Parts: sequence; structure tokens; C-alpha cells
Amino acid sequence: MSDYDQLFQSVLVEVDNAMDSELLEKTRVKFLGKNGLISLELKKISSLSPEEKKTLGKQLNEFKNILLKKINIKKKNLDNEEIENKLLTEFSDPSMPCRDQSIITSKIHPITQTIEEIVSILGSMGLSYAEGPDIEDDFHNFTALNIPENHPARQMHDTFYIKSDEKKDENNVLRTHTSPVQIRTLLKKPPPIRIFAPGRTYRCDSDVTHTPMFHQVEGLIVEEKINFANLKWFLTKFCKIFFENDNLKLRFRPSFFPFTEPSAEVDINCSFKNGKINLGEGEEWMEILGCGMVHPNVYKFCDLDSKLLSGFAFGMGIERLAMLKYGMPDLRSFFENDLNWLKHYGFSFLDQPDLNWE
Amino acid sequence: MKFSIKWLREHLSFDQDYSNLLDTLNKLGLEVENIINPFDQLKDFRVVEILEVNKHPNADKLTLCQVSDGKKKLQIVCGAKNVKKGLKSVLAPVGSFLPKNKTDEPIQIKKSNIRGEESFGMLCSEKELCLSEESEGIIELDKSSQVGQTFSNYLDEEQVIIEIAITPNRVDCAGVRGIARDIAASGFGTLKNINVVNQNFEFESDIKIHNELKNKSCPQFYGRIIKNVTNNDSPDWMVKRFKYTDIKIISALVDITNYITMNNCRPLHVFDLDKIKGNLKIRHSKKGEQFEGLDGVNYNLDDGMIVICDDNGIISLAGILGGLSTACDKNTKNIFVESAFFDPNSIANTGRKLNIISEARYRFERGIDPLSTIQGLNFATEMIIKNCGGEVGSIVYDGPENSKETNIEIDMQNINQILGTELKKNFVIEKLSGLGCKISLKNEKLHVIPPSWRSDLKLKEDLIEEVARMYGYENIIDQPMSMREISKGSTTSLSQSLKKKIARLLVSRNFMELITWSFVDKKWEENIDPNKKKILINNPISEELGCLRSSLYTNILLAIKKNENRGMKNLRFFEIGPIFYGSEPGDQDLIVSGIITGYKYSKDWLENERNVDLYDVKSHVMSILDYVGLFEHKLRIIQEKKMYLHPKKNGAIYLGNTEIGSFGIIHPSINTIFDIKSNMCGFEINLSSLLKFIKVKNKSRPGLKKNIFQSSIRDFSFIIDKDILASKILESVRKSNKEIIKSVNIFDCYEGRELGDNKKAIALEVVLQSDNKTLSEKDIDKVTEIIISNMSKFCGGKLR
Repeated sequence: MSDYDQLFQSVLVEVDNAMDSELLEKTRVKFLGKNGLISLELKKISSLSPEEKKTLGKQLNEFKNILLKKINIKKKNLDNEEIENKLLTEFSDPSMPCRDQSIITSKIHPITQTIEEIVSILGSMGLSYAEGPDIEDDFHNFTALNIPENHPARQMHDTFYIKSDEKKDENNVLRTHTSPVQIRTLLKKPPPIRIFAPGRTYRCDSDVTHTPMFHQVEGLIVEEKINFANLKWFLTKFCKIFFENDNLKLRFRPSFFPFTEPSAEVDINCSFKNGKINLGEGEEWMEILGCGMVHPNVYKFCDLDSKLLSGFAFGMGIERLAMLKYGMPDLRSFFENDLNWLKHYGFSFLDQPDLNWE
Repeated sequence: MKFSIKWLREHLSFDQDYSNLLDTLNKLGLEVENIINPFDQLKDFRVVEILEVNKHPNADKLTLCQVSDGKKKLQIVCGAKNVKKGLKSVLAPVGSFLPKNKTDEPIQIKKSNIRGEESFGMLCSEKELCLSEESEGIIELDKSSQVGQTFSNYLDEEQVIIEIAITPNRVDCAGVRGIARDIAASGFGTLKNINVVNQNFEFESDIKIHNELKNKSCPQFYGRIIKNVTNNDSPDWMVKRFKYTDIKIISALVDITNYITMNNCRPLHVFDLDKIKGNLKIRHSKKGEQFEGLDGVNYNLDDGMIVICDDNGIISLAGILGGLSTACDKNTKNIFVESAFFDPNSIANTGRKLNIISEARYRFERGIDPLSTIQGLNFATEMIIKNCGGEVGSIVYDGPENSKETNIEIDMQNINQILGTELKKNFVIEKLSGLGCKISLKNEKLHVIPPSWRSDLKLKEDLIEEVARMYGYENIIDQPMSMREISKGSTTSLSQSLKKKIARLLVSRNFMELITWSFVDKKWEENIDPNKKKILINNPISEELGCLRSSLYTNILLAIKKNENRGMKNLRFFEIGPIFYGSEPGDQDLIVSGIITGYKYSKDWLENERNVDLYDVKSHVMSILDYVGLFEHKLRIIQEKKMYLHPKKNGAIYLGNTEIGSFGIIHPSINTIFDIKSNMCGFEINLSSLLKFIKVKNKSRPGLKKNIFQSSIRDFSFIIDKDILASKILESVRKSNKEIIKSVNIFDCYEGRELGDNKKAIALEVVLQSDNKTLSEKDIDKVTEIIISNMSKFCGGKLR
């Protein structure tokens, strides 16, 4: 074995015994410093014969490398230990509350969410988002939709009239439905047209099931060969996607709207259990929308040739869709701005509607 | 429209059960709104006899009844006045459910203790059993009723009531006969023939009709005199029928006309002949004429309303409302019965102007069967003679009688193209004939004359709907249609998608989204900004909703007040929606506006409590503007006076000369007006204005420029007048060298007496970097000098 065994052993023991990085550094200087033991030994052998020098020098240098490695490892361990020990003196209670108001508890209003869902579905079905003004004139809101002045359908609309500056024959109205967007669209550009138009609508009616303002979405598809069977297919598709229920059944019932002929009202099937509605099951029917084939008079009012065109239109109440899908029991609460209601029925900003359309 | 099954059976024979009938009605477009079927609902209810009636010891208005249900004696606490010993009535036993509307929670009868006395069930009124609106007293059954039997045995089909909704085009179904006719046409049951005999007259009706409007709005006017009638009570069957269908019982004569209205959709009018002076004249009213209706109301007539007059003046508002002066009463002996046809448009116009709602108006304005006039008169005569006796006079009339027939040409291709079906000609002919259409074939085309009672059938589309109705909408098979290709921007416009994103951005910053009415109380609007034009509604729901909003603030403030009153604090609300600046279509802007209240941090264990401030609200505004690429250095933010904002703590944001938004501390006077305690900061951005400045960016980005040269940072501190805005300071610094100055940041702002009055010290950090070399000390010194001189030149700032 080596001539230095005893020395080496004692050096290693001393390194092992260094309790902190300060002592370790002292030990390092003691052995490896300029005047450290190992350096001195190396100096000593310079006077020996070349052979001895070679043997002893090799031993010393090898040991020096081992020692360096050992000190480095020891140093890292000591450093880690010291950091760890320091950290252990610190403390933050993870169950203490976050900073005030730093968690997002605010919500998107369910009407906004529902409209965005509709935008996403109808958009993916190839319809464009159209808009119209909240204040409408008589022509767009009624006349062009085949609702002449004395038509009983006008009485059913409970119209709000706007005071106008000038003396005019007839006052403008707050639109009673989103259907005037049909007229604006047909007047703006010739078919083919595929649009939908969500928005605010107004009727002079206020009780448990009516609010003076509510939301509708209108749909209009006018091309050359669109038929009633297409309408049924389209709305069935829409409802199944919107209600996320492939079992949903739709019932088309004859009905009347002045601006469609034939007209239909559409129900979806449901059941009531313990005062709760379950869609897509059971034998009860819940009305959700009105629709029909565009009335030839509507084309006439828009200077279009009804012989060349056919199309369908539909309209739905957005609050009603939201109530059926998300279970709000009461229409009026949509507009009461109650923080607890909004938190309960609202949607996270991350809940952006998306869908996979086949 | 309400009718009983028994009533319907008088016109339609069928043996299918009720659920098939309801299904058929719905499929025909006669939407069933309600069905009352007490047979089902009341099978658990029992006939009981009251054996003993005693006063409730602890309640004046209650009695203790001992009743027998055939098996045992039960004690029932009852509040009805008509309880008496020996009365047979109906018991809802413990465990039974009261009939209900489908959405209500069912109410179960339980054994109960009422003021210390036990009660084993409930004695019921008709209202409680949903049989009628009769709520006075418990049901009194016939003496012969058998105690212990189910109450269902004592019901008849007169009590099974169907209520349907009638669309404006289907006035033909505003009579039970018409409903039966439509049901039969669809193949459900068969229509019964009802023969109305043309009564032989016993004398010449001694009254002359002068119809001035026979070629205008009153093409038919028929009538007859009936003498020596007794206007007593209507027969029991009619009283019962009216009770369950909510028709008011008046007197036999009036009830008969009402019955024919509901049964045949044929409104009639009966005048007390002895109250008519002279002869009858049908003419247009003149503006200012007065008429006192049966309802006791004095109506002020306009020009051109159809009126029926005697020698003294107007006695009836034709087709809408009879007059008080010639109304029948208990003493009426001789009558004149009117059956006429009036122009729907004219009736609608009059009804709307005078705001009179009546069964007659409802039918005439929708267009009843013009061929029902004589038939209706004969039907009325028959019923009057039968129930009131009397002698029949001859029919008098004045009218041209010619009614036009509509002739519609249609071919099979029309039908199948619109419906997406492959129907055969024979089917269509059979179904349209079944509805009463007369059809002839010419060159493969169908020429269709609709029946007189279907004035709604005018176009071929109307006939197509009839074919579809008869075929059944449910039998038309869904057909896929080609989907249009979706391309960029084909769904939403920039503004539509921006609106959506801003909402989500604000929610992510902890703002709650509101949706509020478009109308507000004018008085609040005045408080927010009296200078803005107020758009008013002529017929608002109430004063509080009478003015279109010119800002979103009012409604947000009201929401804050409401929630504050409920103990909510530190609110953050926003809305995105329209405001209105004119009364014409399109006079509206899309606005996003929000308010934050109270503390930024409150009762927080980490942070010091502090009020929300201008810079909190600014950060929300800038986040929105930053998103659309309008960085602060592109904007001009200045202070402006706005009624609703703190005069010295507000900012108006300009792009060029357009104000696109503002923010600030809400003026404390607003707190007072709205009675809100919390401090508030608000903002609004006009998205309609903003949109004009937003460019749609190229999707592909320019390469990221890496600047390899060292950047240097220099800090400055200037003493400057207090009212110099930071935007001006920043701009002065930036323009010192636009190429080298990469950013300027204000990191301190200090006001202290040692600086002098109206002075502040402002500390800036300027980052300097060249794109093509490492800046030398000399380069940096040069820029530094310009910065200092610009600050002095433009802002009067001195280096500290």
C-alpha cells in the first residue's frame, strides 16, 4: 500500500468530521491550500530520485483528486443541509385565505352564454350572425312581415311606441321580435341567405311570465329549393345539439305567424319529476319555438320574386331556451341583477361554448 | 276557447278516448292549453253525508262536522257556511291529492289538527276540485247520491273541459261546430248533421231596414221580430255548460245569442223592440257622436265606424257592442234579432280605437263565415221559441248578398316542392274536399274554391298548409340540406366577436356581467347627464321604465344599490349593451360600462385596506384597449368635466378628436341621488366609436427582432407643476429620441411642502437602446440632455 496511508486516512476523517461549510473550508485550506499538507508533501518529494518521485507523486496527485471530489460533494451536502435548515425555520400556512377578491367568482350572464352557444351552433351550421336596430319602424317590424295595421296579430304584440321629434304619421317602435332582421337582410342583398339574429326584443307586458324586455333569436334561410322537410331536419339538428341530447323528440304543430305559411310551433318532449323538468324523456311536450316557410308576401315587400325563392324562418325565446337547459325556475330573475343569482346561474369566463359538429 | 266533451259530442260522434282527441287537436294546430278531466283526478274522492254539525270550540268561523263515508264516522273541521246536517257532499280523504296544474307541487290531504280539533280530510268546494271557479261553500250533492261511492260517478262529460288556443287565422274554430268540423276532416270521428228549420213566420215584421253601407262595410243585414217572449232564466243544461266554460249567465235571450256565438261562431244581437224608436238605419258614425254601451261606458265615436241607429240615434256599435238604451231585461216582451256581416277591417279598426274587447268583435274582425247569417238567425229563432216562447215575424233585410268566392290555382309540384313530400293528387283532392273545398281539375292543375267559413285561405301557400295539416306534420320526413361552407368571418363580424371577448375579459378581471332593461326612469337619466337627449316611450309599463337609456350607468347604479341593500360589498358590475341617442332605427351605440365599489382589499390579512381608486378602474379600461392594440401611447388621456365623475379624478380617452371612453371616481352627488353608501369608480367605452379605429390584423406576425446591443437605464427626477399630466410628460420624453428611447416609466410621484406649492416630483425610468450599436456614454449623455431640455421646454420641469 501507499506510503501515505496514515496521512490520507487522517485527512479523510477530518473532512468527514467537518460539521459546516466553514470548517470544511478550513480543512480544505489545511490540506490543499498553498501551504497545505498535500502541497508541502509534493514539495518534499521534489528532492527524491526520479523513480520515487514518480511513484509518490502519482500517489499524492491521485489522492489530491479524490480529496477534491470528496470536499466538493461534502460541500454540496452541507450547503443543501443549511438551506434546508433555514427553510425549516420559515412557515406559511397553505390553508390561510388568498388575497381579498383575488379569486375570480364573477360570471358571464346566462343570456350571454346562451347566445354564444347559439352563435357557435348556428355558425357551424353555416349561418351568419346578423343584427338589426332595437328601434324599428312600422314597415320593418310589421308591414313587411305581412302584419297590416288592423291585423289581430298586432294586438298580440303589445308594442312600445317611441315618442318622435317630428310630427309623423306613425311612431317608431321598440322591436317586438327579431323578425325585422329578416326584412333588413332580404332588402340588403339578394338570396341565397342564411342568417341568424339574436337580440333584445320588447313588449309592453309585465307579469310572472313576461318581462318588458326579453331576447329572441331569429333564423332565416332563403334559397331556391328549401322545403318544409329541410326545416324539420334543421331544427331537429339544432335542438339536439343545443340541449346536448340525442334522444330529444320534436313535435311540429300547425300554427300561425303572418310571415310564414305553412307555419309550425315546435315542442320538445319532457317529463316532470318532483317539480323538475327532464328533457328528452317522457310524454309531455314543452313549446320552444315557432317557424315556417317564408310567406310569399314577405318576398313581395322586399321586392323579390316569390316564384324563384323558397326558404324558412324560425324564432326562439332565448330566456326560455336557457331556462329549459339550465333550470332557472323564473324568468324575471334574469333581469333582477341579484349577485347571488348571477353567481349561481352564471358561467365562468373559461366556459366558451364550443362543439364538435359532425 | 273552452268547451266540454259533452258539447263537442253534440257535433261530433267518436269513440276514441280523450288522449287521442287531444293529440288530434294539437296535430291540427288547435293547441290544447289545458284539460280538466275530473274523472281521473277525483276518483279517490268520496260522497259523504254530514251527520252532525257542531261549533268549533276555538274558532268562530269553523265548524266540527261528523260525516259518514259509508264505512265509518269521521270528524272534519270545515269553514264553509253551507254545512248542515243531512247534506251530501264530497270528501277529500286523508292521503288523496287535490287536482292541480301540472307544474304545481301536488297537495296531499293529511290528517291535521286545526285549532286543537282533529280533522280527517277535507270537504270540498268546486274550485278546490278544479271543477269551476265556484269557491263559495262546499259542493251540495243530490239527496239520492249514494254515500261511500266515488265522486267520479256523479260527474258527467259536461265537466270535462278542453281549452284550446286559436290562432288569428282560424276564427272558424271560435265555435264548437267549427272545431268538430276540423276534427272530422282529419278523419277523427264523424260530423253530425244538425238541421235548422227555417221557421214559418206568423206575421210580417213591422220594421224597416235602411242599410247605407250595403255596398261597403255591411254587405248583409238580416233581422226579424219575435213577439211575446218571456225573458226568464236559461235552461239548466245551458247554465251548467256556461258555468264550466266560464261564460257569464245573463238572461235567456242574451244567453242564447252568446251560445250561438260560442257554438256556431255566429255573433247575433237581440234588441228590445219596445225600446227601438221607429226604423233601423245602418250608417257610418261621425266624429264626436256619443254611444252608451251595454257596459255602461260612454264612447266617443270617430268618423267611419259602423253604427246601427233608430230614429233617436245610435243604438248599437255594429259587431262589437250593443247599446244600453235597447238592451233586453227581465221585462222584455218583444224583440228584434239581428244577424249581419260586417267588414273585418272596419270592425278591427273601431275595436282598436275604442279599445273594446268582446266576443263579437273577436270573431267579426277575423272574418266569420258570410254564409252563416240566415242560418244563425234561424237557429236563434228556434232556440228563443223553445226557451222563451213567442211568435215569429218575417225576416227583413237590406243587403246585396253577393259574396265573392276565392279561386286558387295550384299544382302537385307546388305542394310537394314546398313540403318536401311525394303526395299524390287523389290524396290532396280528398283532404281538401274533406275540409269543404270545391275542386276542379284543369290541365293538371287544381282549381280550389275554399269553403265560406275559411276566409283565411287566399293563396296557394295557405292550401299547402291545409294539405300538410291533414297529412300530419309528423309524417313529413326530415330531409338533410346541404350545409354552406364556412369561411373566415362568415359567422361573426369584428364587433360581434369583440363584444363577446370583452365580456369574458372583464369577467376574468372579476366583474359580474349584468343584463338590464334598455329603458330607465327619466329622472335618473337627468341626474347622470341632463345634456344628453332623452328618448321617451309613449306607452311605458311605468314611469320607471319610460325613457330609453342614454348611458349604462343608471341601471348599473341601481343594481349596486339593490345589492348593497342586501349587504353585498365591494361590487364589480359591468354590462355591454345599447344606448340610444335618437328616435330613428339605428340611433344607438354599443357601450361597455362598469362600476367598481368599496375596497380593493378589505379585511385582508396580507394587504392594507384601501378604497378602489382611479388607477384600479383605469387598469380595466387599458386592458380592453390593449387587447385591441390601442396601447396607451397611441391615446390621449385628458381630464374633462362630466356631471357624474369627480371633477379632478377622471380621464377622458381620445383617439384623434374622437372620445372613445372615460373613467373616473363617480361623483359623490351620484351617491346621494342613488342613495349608495360605497365609494365608486366607473368607466365606459363606446365600442361603436372604438370599432372605427380597429384594424383587422394580419394573422401572420412579423419576425421578432432580437436586439443584441446592450440597453442602458437612466433614472430622472423632475420637479414640475402639479397639474401637468403624466401623458404630457411621457410624450415629451419619448419625442426626445424616438429611435433610442425604448420605454419610459413613471415609478414615483411625490408631493411635499419642501417642493413648493403646486409642485410635484416625478421619477422616471428611461430605457435606452440602439438597434444597430452599443450606445456609448457620449450617445447616452446626448439623449439625456435632450430629455432634460424637452422636459423644461414642454412641461416646465426642472431636474431635481
